Amino acid sequence: MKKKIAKRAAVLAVFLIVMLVVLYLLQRLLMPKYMSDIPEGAMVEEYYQETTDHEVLFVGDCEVYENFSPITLYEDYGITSYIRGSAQQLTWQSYYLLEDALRYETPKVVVFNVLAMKYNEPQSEAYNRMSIDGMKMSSSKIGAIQASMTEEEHMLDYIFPILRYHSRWSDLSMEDVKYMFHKDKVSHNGYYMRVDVRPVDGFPEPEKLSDYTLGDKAMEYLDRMRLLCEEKGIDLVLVKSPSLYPYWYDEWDEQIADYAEEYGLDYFNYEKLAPEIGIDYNTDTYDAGLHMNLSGAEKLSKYFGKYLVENYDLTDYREDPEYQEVYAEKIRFYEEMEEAQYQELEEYGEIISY
Amino acid sequence: MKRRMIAMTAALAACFALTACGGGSESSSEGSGSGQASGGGYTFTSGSTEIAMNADAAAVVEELGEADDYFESESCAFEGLDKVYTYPGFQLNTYPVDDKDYVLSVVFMDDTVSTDEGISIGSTKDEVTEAYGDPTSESATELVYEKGDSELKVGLDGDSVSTLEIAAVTE
Repeated sequence: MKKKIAKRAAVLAVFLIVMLVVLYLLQRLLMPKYMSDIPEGAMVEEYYQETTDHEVLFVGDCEVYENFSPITLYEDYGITSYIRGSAQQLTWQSYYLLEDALRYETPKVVVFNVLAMKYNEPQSEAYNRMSIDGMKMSSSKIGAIQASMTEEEHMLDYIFPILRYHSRWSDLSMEDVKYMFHKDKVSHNGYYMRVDVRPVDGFPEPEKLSDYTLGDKAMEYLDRMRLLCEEKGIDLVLVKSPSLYPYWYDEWDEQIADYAEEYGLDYFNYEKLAPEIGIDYNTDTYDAGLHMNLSGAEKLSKYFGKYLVENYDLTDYREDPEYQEVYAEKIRFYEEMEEAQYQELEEYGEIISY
Repeated sequence: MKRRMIAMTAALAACFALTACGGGSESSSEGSGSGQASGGGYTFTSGSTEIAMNADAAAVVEELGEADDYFESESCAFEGLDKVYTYPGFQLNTYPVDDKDYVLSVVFMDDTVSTDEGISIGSTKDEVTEAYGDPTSESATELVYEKGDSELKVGLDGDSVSTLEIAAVTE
């Protein structure tokens, strides 16, 4: 009798294991891979592949991951840095991605780009997914989900993404199979490279707003970011990158400047400093002023790197053999991608693979 | 033994069925618009062109004629371009899904245009509530009305309407 029960239990256990494995494999297959389309969606999880620490950590939306180049910061100043950014990354998502990163390392400086302060509510599931799906499971991820969900979304769909992506089966391609377990690297320490040029050619007239006060939820998470940095002995720097659109209203700028002054933080609006940085909006943007291209990002990084080394006790890791080896590989990948993009420009007149 | 195998196979099949059919909402990382014109939502009429949220933008733009100004930017999360068409008195914003653009919002830029219910920038709060009733939500500076897959946002400066926008609810 005992033998029979043990046998049944064993069969049941094997069955449950097989079922869980099948579900796991299906989930891996069905989740979007963000490789050839919208590579920005693959950047959050790329952070976990890092093998060395970073003394500077950027958090924010496309205004950080398209405008600052960590490779330039290393090449010119020996600064090690990483950008934890994703498309339309909201302030609370930046907070939780910072909290998540602090489980692995403690940087000396955290840089937060303030454009996302304009949003006080969850915006879109598509953006949420790109910021959250790539996070490893942790209390930070749960916090990010809770803070980010739109009314139609459910916590369980994030914890078990197969519940959300099950109907992608009809959209599956070879890419879903190819990248089921391993993805190609798409960023350079979180930086999304583009070398093409599209000059600024004017913007629509700015909408008048009924209320220019930055939202309480956004302010709450900025506060939490500041307190988290204080608690860990990290210096927090606020920046508004030199992207010209969407509009960053003067009223918002004043509120951030006042906040920075109140808490003794540095705040730089690089839109206002663009001439000093040397940014030329005819040559340094790839999408008519929304984001910098490689030339613009490198100019901004050289300028910002100078500020960093002059004001913080950062290490020059160009002298460290371990970092030399790691960054030699990163620089090789950076230069290869730059060359490949220029080749595409020459061949097709536009960037098509990045 | 055979019965047990059948039961387990059935359980596994049910599990597949759950993953194939459960969850409810459409599951793509891309796009959130219906691609259909709004059913019973707020509309804006310019001349003889009625603009519904989530409607096919190409048809609307063709009917409206050439815009005074046009601006496009790459959409961060979607394949395609976010577009802004500026017409006298209002801006028409669109969003892409697959190869098509849909109406995202109409933003009133001055008092030369009004909603289909006769509200324009400069109207009073009382005129707004008379035309639309009680708002779905309200703050000191904004009234929000929801209808179908659209919402009307009325910005207030004291007792006077300072901003107006009809927007698609895309999720």
